[in-house]
Amino acid sequence: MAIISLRNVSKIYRAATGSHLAALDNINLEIAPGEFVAVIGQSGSGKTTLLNVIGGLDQPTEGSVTVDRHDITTAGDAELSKFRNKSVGFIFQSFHLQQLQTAAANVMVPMLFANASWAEARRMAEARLALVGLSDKINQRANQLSAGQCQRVAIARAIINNPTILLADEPTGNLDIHTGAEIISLLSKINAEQSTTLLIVTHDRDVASMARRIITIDDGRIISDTAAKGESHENKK
Amino acid sequence: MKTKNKFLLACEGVMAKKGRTFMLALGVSVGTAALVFLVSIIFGAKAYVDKSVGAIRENLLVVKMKEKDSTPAKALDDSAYRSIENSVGPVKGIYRELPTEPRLGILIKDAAAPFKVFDVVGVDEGLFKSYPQFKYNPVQPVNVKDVTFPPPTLAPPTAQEETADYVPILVPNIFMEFVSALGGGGGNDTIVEEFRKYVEGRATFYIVVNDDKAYRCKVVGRDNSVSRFSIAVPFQYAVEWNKEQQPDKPLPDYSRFVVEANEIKDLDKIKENIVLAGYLPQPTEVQDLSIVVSRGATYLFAVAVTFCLVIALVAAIGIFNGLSISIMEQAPRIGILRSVGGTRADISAIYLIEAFIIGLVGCVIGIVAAHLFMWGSDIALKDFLSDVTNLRGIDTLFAWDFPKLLYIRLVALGLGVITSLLAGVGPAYRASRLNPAVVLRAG
Repeated sequence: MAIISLRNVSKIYRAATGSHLAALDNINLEIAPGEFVAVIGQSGSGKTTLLNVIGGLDQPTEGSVTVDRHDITTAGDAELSKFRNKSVGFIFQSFHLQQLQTAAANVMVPMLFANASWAEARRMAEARLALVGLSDKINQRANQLSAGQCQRVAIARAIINNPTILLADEPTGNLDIHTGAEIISLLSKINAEQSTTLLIVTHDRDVASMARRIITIDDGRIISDTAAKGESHENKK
Repeated sequence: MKTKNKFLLACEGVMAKKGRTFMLALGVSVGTAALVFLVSIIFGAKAYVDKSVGAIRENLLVVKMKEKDSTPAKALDDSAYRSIENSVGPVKGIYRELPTEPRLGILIKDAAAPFKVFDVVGVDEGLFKSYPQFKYNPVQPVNVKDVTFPPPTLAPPTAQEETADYVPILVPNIFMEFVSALGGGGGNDTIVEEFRKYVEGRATFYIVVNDDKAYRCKVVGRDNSVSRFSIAVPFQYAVEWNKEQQPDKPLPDYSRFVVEANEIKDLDKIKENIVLAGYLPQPTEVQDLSIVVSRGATYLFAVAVTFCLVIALVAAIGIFNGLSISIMEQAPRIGILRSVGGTRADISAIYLIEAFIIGLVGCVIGIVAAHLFMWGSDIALKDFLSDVTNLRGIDTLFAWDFPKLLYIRLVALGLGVITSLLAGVGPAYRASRLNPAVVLRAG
C-alpha cells in the first residue's frame, strides 16, 4: 500500500489580474513506504509545490492527497499540524535555522510541539545530532556552523520525531559538490537504515541519480516516472 | 503544545532579536515611567492638598435649625442628635455645641487691654480628642490676683507648661478674624502680634470669668466648627462658665451640632442628607473653597489618567508596529514552526507571549527608572519648588506611602502588560495566518 497517494491533484494560483497558473496539473502519483524518490524539473515546474502539497504545507485546488493514512485535503489545522509534526520531516535548501540559537535548540523544536519536556527534547536532539555527525557541535550557534553542518542540523531537526516521510527541497542547492554528496549520502543512509520514505526535489541530475526512482515534472505535470539503474520501477508518461 | 514550551519558544524569539526587543521594551518603559511619574506626582499633590486642607479641619460641618423657609424650625435636642446621627451616613463623629454668653476676657501681660471674647461655645469632648494636643484634666480656677502671666514667646513650651493642666481651646480657622474678635487688629498691631505669639508659640494664657476667676488655657487647634468671633472649649467649661455668668438663666438647648466627615469629598453627600433630614448645614466659605480645591485635585487626576491613556495608546501603536515588522522579519521562522507541527493557535500564543514578555520587561524597567527619577527629583527639586512656590510643608513631590506606591506600580504594570498584549493580538493573529509554504519559499 502506498504511503503517499495523489489522485487528480491540481494546484492553481489565481493572479489579481484574473489569469491562472497551474503549478500542478492533474497529478497522479503513488509512492511506497521506504522508497527513495527524486523529483526533478526546471525552475517553476511545480516541484516545490508538489512537495508542499504532500507535506501538508499547501492545499491542492483539486484532487485528493493521502499521506501516511492522512487525507491532507480534508484535514483541519490541528490535524495537519500533528501530521507535519509526527509523520513528515522537512529539509530546505536554505536550512531555515535560527541563526542565534544553538544546533541543539534548533533541532529540539519539533519535539517541543509534540509535548515533550525541554529535557527530553534536548536529550533527543543531542542523539540526532550525533547521528548526523555533529556531536561536537551541539552547543554551537547556527551562525558558527558551515553550510554543510547547517544542513546536517536541519536533517537532525527533520528526523527528531522519527517521521515516516522525509521531504527535502533542493537540500544540496546551497552546498558545494562534495558537501552536497555527503548530505545525499546521509539522507540515503537514513532512508536505508530507518526505512524512511525519502522524497528529494532537485534540479541536479547527479543528486537525482542517487535515488531509486526519478520523477520528472514539467509545467505541473509528471512527464516521466522512472526507476534508477538497477531498479524495477518504470512508468514513462 | 505545553504552555511552558510555548513560553520557552517565545523567549527564544525575544532573544533572537535583542535589538528590536530592546527598542520595543524601551518604548513600553518610557510610557510606564511617564505614567508612574505623572500619577505619583498627582497623588503627591493631592496628598499635599489633603494634608493642608486637613490641617485646617475643613471636614467639619456645622448643622443648625432651619430658619428661612416655611418648614417649622426643629429643636436641636437629643432626638435631633439621633435623627442626624441616623441620616448623615458614615462620618467620623457628631458633636454637640452649647453656646454661652460670658463676658470673658483674655489676659495677656503687657497687653494694652484684656481681649474680650464675644462668644464661647462648649463642644463635646470627642471633638477635642481628635486633636493630638488635647490633654484634659479638670482645671480649677485661681484668683486673678494670684496669676503670674508668662511673657509672650515663640519658644517651645516649657516643661512646666507642658505638664500643667489647662483648658483646651479651639480658635477659628481664619486667625486674623479671631484676633479681631478678641479686640485686636484695628490698627493695634502690637496686640495682634502678641496674641499671634501666644497662639503659635502655644504658650498658655488665662480666661477670666466674672472678673475674678482665672482659668489656665491653651490653644490646641484651629477648627472650622468655631465661627468667627468665637472660641470653643470643652462642653463642661461652657456649662460652668455659663452658670457663673448667668446663674438665674436656664441652660439653653443644644443649638448646633458639628459633623466631622471622614473626608472632604464626603461633605456634599452629608449636606444632602442633612437637608433631607430637615436641618440646615452651614459650610463656610473656606470649606466651599476646600471642596473646589479637592475637586480641582480630582480633575487634575482625571487629566493625568487621560494623559496616561494617551501614553498607553501611543505605546500600543508603537508595539503594534514593532511587532508587525518583527513578524514580517521572522516570517521564515514562523514557516518553520508551522512545518514542524505548530498550529495556528500555537503561533498566536507564542507571539502573544512575546508581546507579554516585552510588556513585562518594559514595565519593570520603566517602574524602576521612574522610581529612581522620582527619588532624584525629590532630592533636587523639593526645596527649590518650596522656595519658588512659597508653599510650606512640602515633604515630598510624590506619593511614597506604601499602599499608593504599590497601587500605582501595580496599575502601571497591569496597564503596560495589557497594552502590550492588546497591541500584540493583531500581529500574533497575522503571524498565525501566514501561509508556511509561501514564507518558506520567500525566506
